[in-house]
Amino acid sequence: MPPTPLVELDGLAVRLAGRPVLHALSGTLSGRVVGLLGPNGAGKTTLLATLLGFVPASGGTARLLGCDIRTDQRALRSRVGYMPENDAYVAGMSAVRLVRMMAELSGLPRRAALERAHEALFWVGLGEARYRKLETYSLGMKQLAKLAQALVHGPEVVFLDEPTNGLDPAARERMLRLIGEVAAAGVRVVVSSHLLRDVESCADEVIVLKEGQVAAIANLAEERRTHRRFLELETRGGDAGGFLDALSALGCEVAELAHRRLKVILHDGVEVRTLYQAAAERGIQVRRLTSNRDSLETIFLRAMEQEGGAPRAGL
Amino acid sequence: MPVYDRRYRRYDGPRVEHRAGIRTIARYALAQAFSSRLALVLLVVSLLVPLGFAAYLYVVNNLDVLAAVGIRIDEEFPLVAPSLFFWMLVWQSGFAFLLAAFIGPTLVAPDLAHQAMPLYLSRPVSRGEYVTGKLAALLAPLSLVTWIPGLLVVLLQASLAGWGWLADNWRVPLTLFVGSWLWNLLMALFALAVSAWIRWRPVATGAFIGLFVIFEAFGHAINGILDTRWGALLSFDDLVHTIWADLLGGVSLFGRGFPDNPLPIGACWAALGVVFTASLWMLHRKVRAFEVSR
Repeated sequence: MPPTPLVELDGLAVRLAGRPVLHALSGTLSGRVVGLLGPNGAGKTTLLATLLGFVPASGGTARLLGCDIRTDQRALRSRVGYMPENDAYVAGMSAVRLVRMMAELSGLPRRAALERAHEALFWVGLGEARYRKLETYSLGMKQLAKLAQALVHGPEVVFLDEPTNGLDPAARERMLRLIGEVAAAGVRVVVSSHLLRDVESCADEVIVLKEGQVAAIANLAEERRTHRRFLELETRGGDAGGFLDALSALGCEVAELAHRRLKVILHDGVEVRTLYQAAAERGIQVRRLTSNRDSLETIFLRAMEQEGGAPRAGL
Repeated sequence: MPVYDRRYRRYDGPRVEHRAGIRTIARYALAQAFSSRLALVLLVVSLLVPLGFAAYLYVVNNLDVLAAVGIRIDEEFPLVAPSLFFWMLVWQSGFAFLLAAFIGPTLVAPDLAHQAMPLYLSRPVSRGEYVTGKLAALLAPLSLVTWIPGLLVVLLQASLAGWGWLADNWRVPLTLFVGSWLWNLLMALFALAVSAWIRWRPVATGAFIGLFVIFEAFGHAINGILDTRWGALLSFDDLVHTIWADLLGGVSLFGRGFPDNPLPIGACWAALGVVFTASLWMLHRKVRAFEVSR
């Protein structure tokens, strides 16, 4: 059964202070983790704010989890979690108190809210610091506290606005791992970021915005699958001819390049491991094996090169 | 969940009805406000006057107690005139002002200072419910020092002097209740509005008190310079006292009517209406999840 669409944009337009910011966005996003990409000012935060009901649509509409954002906003908000980009906390309040309050506001009973607040803070790694006031937290800790409050009530979908902003490499890795865990637990995630590598590491679908328009919508999982089939190998020693025959027998298309380099197109069902096995059996050393790993960058750059950010889906 | 199990898990337990958001916001705001001992001390001190007033009522309704200590009072002397309750309300409104100045800025300013509004408003809580919750957190202690002790004192007086006293002086509880609510709402809305615009708490407290004093002084200066009474439109005190006196059916101070040379009652209500509207507009402008840069 195809997954329920996460977001359906239907000519969604938004004006802020009389200025058009989003221009008739259309498209459907069904991924488990959706990356929202675009340069600064492309309208990423405005799109999130509109889906959350912070900003009214000036035209068209959108559906989130099948509910119209204009008419079902209240019901939607108990199913949604939101981690804003900027600092967001109540001065003078401890992390556990803030997270508990947010859980109660989302409809959890008081006792359950307290229990979940402790659990969420332990989960993000702030267990020992949960009674400290939020203003004493470092930037990374504040990001984790924001993540905890976004997930404490068990939302069906969570919006993360630049979750790795300002984090050092270790904290960034941790944040990405937590996002992966959330997705694995069945929560659908929308990650807005301008860091392609972060989005690529966790998203299975992306929407690229440019100047308030949809520049591209792409299924990353499909893209990855396609690009993984193109490999470049550099080999040494062994029975080179036998190796080529073995590859052909596996159904791979092979092109020989200079200096014993090979270009291989893997067919469905053939894993990279099989190539290594075939090489080992013939005494071949695989010195280098590269696959096309810049698929998201390619998609993004292609989208940015389009004239005037013309809407284009399914790159 | 076992302590070693640090995996994320969904919540599938019960949920309460959405309207509980107002109560939750009010409860947390109250706890935050009264985490300061000074606020608690101020609240306790402000209850001393009604206690003293209750003691006074007990004594004057039991003149034999006074006679026992050698004090004889002409029984015709009006010991418990309605004006007495008016002055109690005036006194208590002063405490309400101080409480509003102290607590008000702790309610909205800390949320706006660090952009916490998106956290509230991304949940099933509307802007109106947020403001109502914060308002309730301020109105509760203000009520505790104004109309609640006021009505308790009236009940005490009625029980001591006979329920006929209450029938003869029905305007007293009406003034205490309506007058207190009017003042409390004015204080609460104005305090929230100021704290929504000035996000640093000490400055917000200063601005709240300062604006009161400045408006009052400016109003009196206009009256003095232009030889008019309309400057009182800028004085919250004068406006509210005029309305209270009208509700009570007139108040005298040293044999003269109070307030002296009052404004028309309609003008007072209209001026308060303007203050309420302006405060709500200020809150409407600032209490939002998403600020648009123009």
